[in-house]
Amino acid sequence: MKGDLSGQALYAPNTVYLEVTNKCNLKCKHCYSMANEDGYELPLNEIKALFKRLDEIGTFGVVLGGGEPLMREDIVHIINLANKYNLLVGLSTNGILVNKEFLKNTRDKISNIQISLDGHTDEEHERLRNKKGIFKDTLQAIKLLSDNNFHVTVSTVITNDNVNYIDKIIEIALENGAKTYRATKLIKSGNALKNNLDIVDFKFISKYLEELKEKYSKEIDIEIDSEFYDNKSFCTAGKETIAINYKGDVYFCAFLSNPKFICGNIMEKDIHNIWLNSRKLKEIRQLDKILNCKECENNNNNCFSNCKAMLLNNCSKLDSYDF
Amino acid sequence: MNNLQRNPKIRWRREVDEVCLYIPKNREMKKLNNVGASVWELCDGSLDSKEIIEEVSKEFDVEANEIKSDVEDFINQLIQLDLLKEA
Repeated sequence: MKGDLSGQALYAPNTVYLEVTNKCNLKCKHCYSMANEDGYELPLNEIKALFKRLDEIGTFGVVLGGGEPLMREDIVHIINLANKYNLLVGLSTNGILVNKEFLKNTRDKISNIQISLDGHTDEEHERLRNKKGIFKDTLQAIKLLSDNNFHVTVSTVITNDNVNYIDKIIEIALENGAKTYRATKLIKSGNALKNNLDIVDFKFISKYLEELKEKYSKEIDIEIDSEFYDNKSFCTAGKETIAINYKGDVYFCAFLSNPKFICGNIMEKDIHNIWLNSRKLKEIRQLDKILNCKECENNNNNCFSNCKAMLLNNCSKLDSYDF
Repeated sequence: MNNLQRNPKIRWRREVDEVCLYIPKNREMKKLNNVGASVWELCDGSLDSKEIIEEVSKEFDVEANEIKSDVEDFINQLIQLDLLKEA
């Protein structure tokens, strides 16, 4: 049962990553966006119209993120709306605002909650997350949600600071009941670019993560971001998934923020029209054909040439290309 | 065997030459190729596996005996994943 999209768009995206707000209660050093406490929110009526349309065109699910999605007072209403329109709901959160009331109101309405844990000690986690005292809140959220039968995925952005302690972070995820662990790449945009964080050698990491996956195979599912592998075809951005930011701008991947890659805006244009007809989306789907990364002198261990967002953010060969 | 019926709770979508669907049991999305998509669409509760094999055989112009085992295996996989049930 093999499928090959060959750069063609599906009739509809399978998953839509939706940044419901740019507000955040943290200022993480490695954040790919530049979220802050005074950010903006996508209007509720626009979210409702979007969900209705996604249901009509056959999208399977939405992943709600931000910013910190729980900073929105109406987040439970948004989750209910997604359920009303038959969309599976994923939620990406730092966990700090998770409480019993949130649990009560969202039970059986979220298929996966991803909680970020970037260190195995309070010092390590809080250094990257840039706020004291939140390590225990994060662990409490993982445990509370897991104890109440939510499917919790613990996610770590791999940096030079935590790369040697991934096994310890997995142990913490296990102790607190998480069902899945996910290793995520660092994207050099937003705060990560501003703070000039180094990307860890992905060839080393992919081997190490595979070993951990084998080691913990009976205890926890370990997901490894496709970008850790040297194969562009893994990337589903723009082909099976799409991202919409808090202003309604549509990007082929959530890790892009440069306005030159905006493919449209859902407040101005139908999402299905953008998905099928955006010239930029069509070109980005064909990026593999524009670039010959295998023969590029810059294709070193940290190039992440398999990640289109990283290429578009950093590849000098694309500077003159008119998207 | 009884007639085969798609699980009505499964979200799926027809693409040009494949079917995309979400498998809750495995928490993953899958694409069925053109033969798989055809089998999937035929599982509307009106046909049993023998009749489905005959329909696929006609559609792809192959002998029913040649595809029987593959189609049955595929149907069993779908049943195990709670995507299909016997009506």
